[in-house]
Amino acid sequence: MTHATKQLITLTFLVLFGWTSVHAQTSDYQIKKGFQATYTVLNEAIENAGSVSELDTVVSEISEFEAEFSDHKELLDNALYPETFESSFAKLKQDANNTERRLLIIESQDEKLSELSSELSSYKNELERLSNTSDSLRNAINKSEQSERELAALVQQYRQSLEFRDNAVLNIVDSLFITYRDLKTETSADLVEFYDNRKIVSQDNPLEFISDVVEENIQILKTDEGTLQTEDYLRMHVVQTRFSEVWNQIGNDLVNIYAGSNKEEWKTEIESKLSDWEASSSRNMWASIDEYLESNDVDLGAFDSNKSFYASIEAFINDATDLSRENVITDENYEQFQSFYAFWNGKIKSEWGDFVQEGDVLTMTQISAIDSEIMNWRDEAKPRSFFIPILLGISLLTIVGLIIVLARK
Amino acid sequence: MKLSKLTPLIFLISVSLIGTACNKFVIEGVNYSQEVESVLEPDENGNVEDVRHDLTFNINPLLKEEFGEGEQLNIEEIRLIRNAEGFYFITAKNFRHVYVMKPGHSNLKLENKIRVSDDRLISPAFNYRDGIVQLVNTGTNDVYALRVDGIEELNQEG
Repeated sequence: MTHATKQLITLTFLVLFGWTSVHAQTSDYQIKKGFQATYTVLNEAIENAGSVSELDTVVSEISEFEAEFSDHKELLDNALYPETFESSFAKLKQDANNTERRLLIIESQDEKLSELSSELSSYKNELERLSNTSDSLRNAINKSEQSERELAALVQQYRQSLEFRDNAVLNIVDSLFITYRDLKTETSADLVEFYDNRKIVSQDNPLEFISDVVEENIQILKTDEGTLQTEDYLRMHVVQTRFSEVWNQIGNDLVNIYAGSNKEEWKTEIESKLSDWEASSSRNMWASIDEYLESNDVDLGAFDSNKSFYASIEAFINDATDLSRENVITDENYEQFQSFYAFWNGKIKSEWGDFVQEGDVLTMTQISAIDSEIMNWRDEAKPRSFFIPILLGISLLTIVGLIIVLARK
Repeated sequence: MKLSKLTPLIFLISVSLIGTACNKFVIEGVNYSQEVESVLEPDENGNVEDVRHDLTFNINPLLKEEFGEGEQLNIEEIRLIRNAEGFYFITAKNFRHVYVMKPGHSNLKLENKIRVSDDRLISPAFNYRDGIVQLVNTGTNDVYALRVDGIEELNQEG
């Protein structure tokens, strides 16, 4: 039996008691006390109503209560001073209206949350399937004694399965964001109260799901043994960045709604995992970019953040431009320029372009600034042609020689 | 100084004294009645306080008057109501009387002690009906119409 039901029984008893008392010799004081006791119970029933239908029952009890005591209106006007019979009921009805409004919102949002729970469940299945595929491919790669060609095919499949998985994670994150952004209204305080009193099954709990997804991503990054490429790390970094952004926007609401009495624990656990994930994805991504550049004979020095990466590129281009200016005759600098230009245009701006911007590897402003510096470098590094000046010199010498010969004659 | 010379002075003083007395005007027809009785719980010292009507007094003299020196019953609450003239009617469970008290300067003076029952009252309550204080014994449904000078009429309902 719910608390509200018990209250209603008490209320019915009180109303009945009031009715009986009215028909026997009773004191006005008793009527006043009976009225006040019933009023208090009704007030509590309004506050504790857990659903609109429960509240409807309370509202009908209020009407009965009002009718029962209407014969004593004059007495109660006096006894309830400074309230009156009418003002007391007006207040009670106003409270009931406010509670109904709140419950309607909660019920509609509860419906949305239920929809999300079922969505979450299907996402979990999809993600589990993709994770299983990735795991078996990774195991196959680790144990592989197959030919290099077959191994390359396995690695390719593994990378593709991770890409599918990352896309699924991004879809889930977007879905979570859209749903909870709509919930983030003035009603979220009501929701907190509502969900505090409601046991959340762990499989419906997005916090469990988020924690598991983050943990899996950390494990993928930590257990990788060189099968992934820079593009994969960039994509993973974007997923991580997007995940953290969404958490920063809706994390508190999720914790308030779903963490029950363990709000601080959940918040700390997820934020610590997110921080771990960020560190791993960031470290792997920068290391992979560095490795790629080194394999293409571009040495930018050390970098591990947007700021240091940009500073390294800028310093590298400036040094190379100065060097080109000093060595105008050789075309060695031009080869270096071409190598870097291929990396810049082919990878940073094209192949990795979306990830570079979304993952905040470089901002648009930084890319534009580097573009302009690269053009400068190109102008300096481009090998000069000495054919025309030499030709002109030869022609001049020939003319001078001819003039001397003619003069001697 | 001769008495005849003082006469105008005495006359003037008399006139001014009469004038001062005439300035103490009185509002007639004040209704002190209290529509609903007050039920007050005494503290360990016997003090009761009616917050709504701003009244505080000690019930120990009342208990002494009702029960005498020897017998002391534990009184959990006393009931009082005020009629239009401003007299307080006070009783309690286990009383046999209703005490009619007249408010004075920081005191309540016994105006009348009305014996309402030979047995102790089981569940008394005051009502105010049409300008008359009623004592209802809710346990027995007996109703007593009370005036300052006694029971006006004795009804037996039930």
